[in-house]
Amino acid sequence: MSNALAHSALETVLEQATVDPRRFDRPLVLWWLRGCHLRNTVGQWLRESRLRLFMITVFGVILWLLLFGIFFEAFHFLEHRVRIGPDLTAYLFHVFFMTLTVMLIFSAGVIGFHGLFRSPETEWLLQTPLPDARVFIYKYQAAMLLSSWGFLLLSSPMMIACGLNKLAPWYFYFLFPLSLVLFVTIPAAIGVAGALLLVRAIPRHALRFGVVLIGSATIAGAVWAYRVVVNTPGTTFTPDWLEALIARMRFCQQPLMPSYWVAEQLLALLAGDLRRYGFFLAVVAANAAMLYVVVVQLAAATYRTAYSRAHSHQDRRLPRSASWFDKIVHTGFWYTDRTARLLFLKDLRTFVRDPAQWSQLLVFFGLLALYFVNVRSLRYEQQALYWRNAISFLNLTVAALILATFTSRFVFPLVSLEGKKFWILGLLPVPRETILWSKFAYSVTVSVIASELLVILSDVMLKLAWWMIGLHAATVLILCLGLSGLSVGLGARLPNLRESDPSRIAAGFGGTLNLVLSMVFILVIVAMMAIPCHLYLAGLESGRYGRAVWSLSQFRFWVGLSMTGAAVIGYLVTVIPMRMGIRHFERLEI
Amino acid sequence: MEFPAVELDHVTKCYGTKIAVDNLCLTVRRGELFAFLGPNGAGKTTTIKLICGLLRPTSGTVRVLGYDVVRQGELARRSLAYVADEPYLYEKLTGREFLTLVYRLYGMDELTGKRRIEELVDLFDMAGYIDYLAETYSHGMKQRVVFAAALLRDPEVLVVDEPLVGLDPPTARLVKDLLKQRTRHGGTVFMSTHTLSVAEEVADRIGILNRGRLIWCGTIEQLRRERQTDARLEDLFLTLIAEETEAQQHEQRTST
Repeated sequence: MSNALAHSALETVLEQATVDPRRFDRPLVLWWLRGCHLRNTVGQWLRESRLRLFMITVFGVILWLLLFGIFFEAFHFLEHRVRIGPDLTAYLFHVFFMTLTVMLIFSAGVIGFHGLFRSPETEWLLQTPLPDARVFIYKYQAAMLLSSWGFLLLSSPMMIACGLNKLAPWYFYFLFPLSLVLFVTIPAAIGVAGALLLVRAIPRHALRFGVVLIGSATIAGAVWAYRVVVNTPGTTFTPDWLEALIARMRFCQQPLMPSYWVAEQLLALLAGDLRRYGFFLAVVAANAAMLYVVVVQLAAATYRTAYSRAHSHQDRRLPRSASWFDKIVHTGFWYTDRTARLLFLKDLRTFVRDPAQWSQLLVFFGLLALYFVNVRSLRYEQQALYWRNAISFLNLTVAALILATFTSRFVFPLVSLEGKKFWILGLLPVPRETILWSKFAYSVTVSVIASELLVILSDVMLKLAWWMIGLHAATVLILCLGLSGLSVGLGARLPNLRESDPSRIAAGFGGTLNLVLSMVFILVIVAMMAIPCHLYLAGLESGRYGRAVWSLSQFRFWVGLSMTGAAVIGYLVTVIPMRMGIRHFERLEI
Repeated sequence: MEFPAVELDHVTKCYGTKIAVDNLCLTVRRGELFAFLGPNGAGKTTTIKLICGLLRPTSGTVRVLGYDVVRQGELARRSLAYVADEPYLYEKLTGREFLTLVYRLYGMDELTGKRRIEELVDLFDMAGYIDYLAETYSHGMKQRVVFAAALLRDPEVLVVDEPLVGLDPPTARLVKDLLKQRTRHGGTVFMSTHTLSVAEEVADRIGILNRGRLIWCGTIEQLRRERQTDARLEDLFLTLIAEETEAQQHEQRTST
């Protein structure tokens, strides 16, 4: 009884002593933490990785200039060549920012989920007396930065190119970054709040549900956009058709959407209408501030409960063996070493069990397949051979670029992911070289099956001649070998054994270098194969009105030379990184 | 009226259908070094996470120094420090910067914070590496920095999970001495460990958890008296766990 009374008294005392959450709030200390982190990272790069920093800067500047050139030409074309009623720039801005809003919401949601519920730093911060909302804001800011830095960086050449074409006033160049920064806070807040609510509601299935939602939304959006384009009346790319298309896309200009506010803000700024710009800037700022308050309140009320729920579900018991799955791998890859097949099974299981890893790829390849299957709806096969050739090479390039993201994102990190478990590989009774070659074999097998299927499907749909299909198939084979060699070789040469997150490994220096080299390789090979075809077919086209540029025998000679050159480059790009990787991998100690 | 350092009142924590902590009632008094023992999967880490506020109980109440961890979490965490078995440090911060972050987060003044860091650097012999990035540290070095961070602000309740894993013998000895010293000065230590010899050496009381249930709580002497033996803690622990597991299995058989 006395114990109960004591507790009752205690309850009363403690209720009265309800703490003011601001008492332990230390926002400035968290900014100091970020500053320290940044200073040390940059300092370390300057001391130890000047070459890396130099290459990142050079590639960054080249990419920026390239984008600026493309945007400048595109806006110049729209401004001076396209003569239609509505302002095409305004329409493009609205569509661009609406698409971006959706992408940023999803991107911030996924990054926010990992930051809020999976990060060891979060667990540590939640042990401190910082208010829950402060930890949430700290992670929200990080998710916002990570999800939007690429957009902020890449939209600057677009804005400057647009400003120069539209002869924007001088203050446009100083004020547009403010508009963009304010804008990204809105989709980021929606995305992170969505992740929080999703985990609060379905803690166990939040990630899977999120991935399915994003995948479904992407596919539905793509199918819908495709139908809008296909069903627009008129001949494709004529002024009438464009006007009809803009009319069908009018919903992108709904005044209640954040994309509308930022688009109108920038259009007003371009036109020098400061009054209208100020109004929309205030609308964005007010909504950003309101969302911030809502998100903070939401976090204060639910974040810790959601965190607890996210870590309170029972682990799923997995089947003891998936013998059919193992049999497929052992039968399908009979030509590789058994130990290496077992390692591959291990890599494959890790990959399959993380939906965040493969879902994006599935969506991309799915969309591409969908496009290729429906390529006839666009009536491309009725075009001249010259155009069909151009379209087929564009399709091939897109498939190859997606393949490059696959090899950079999934194949490159394979060696790094061994990390602290590297001793298992070190003790295996197989030469280390065999392990790398087997990873290469798997990468090539998977890449060849997926890419050849897609490219041949596209060619068949375009009703291309058999020799063109053969040429494309050979090009794809060279690309698959080269991209796999690059990714496996560089992955072994530049491993990051400290990191366990494959996306971070892929986003690091080695992964970025691999991606850039893969892109350069693709462009070189595709250009080598496409240019002779283009010249020959362009000659045939012009031959209708005059004489052909190349004869068939000349074309055969040049295409044979290109094929040989591409094969030699492909061989070098496959073998050199693999040799470098093997040499480093054999000496690797941990 | 003095509140207990840690109080778990009929606490249950479920992971789906699995009961990780089952109706746990436990009181750790101030100035006590309490060793929390149990086999793998017994629910020790879950209990620690409940005390630190990282998990919320399915039912029951967890109090630290009288503060309800769910309703007054910030106050509870203010007086508590947790040293996990896997030490967390920011890889791109030096040990000194990490310690600075800790004293600033807890609102200590700069002068006191800096002085405490110097004392702890000397105490844990960290001068050789404290100004290097944490990514270069070994497990033991990280563990020392994390211990220093926990002691920096002199918490009233120190919760440690496997405190001696990865520490070299001199540092392990130092940590054991520090834990005992803290309790002599009125501090409380809640220690989860598998190293029964350490528990036997330093603990004032022990609690043994098996399959989420507290099967024994008291001093080692009480346990020996109850069992009428002079056996070591290791033997007593194994006997208790075996008996309890058998009893639980029997209970399950009869209920089905």
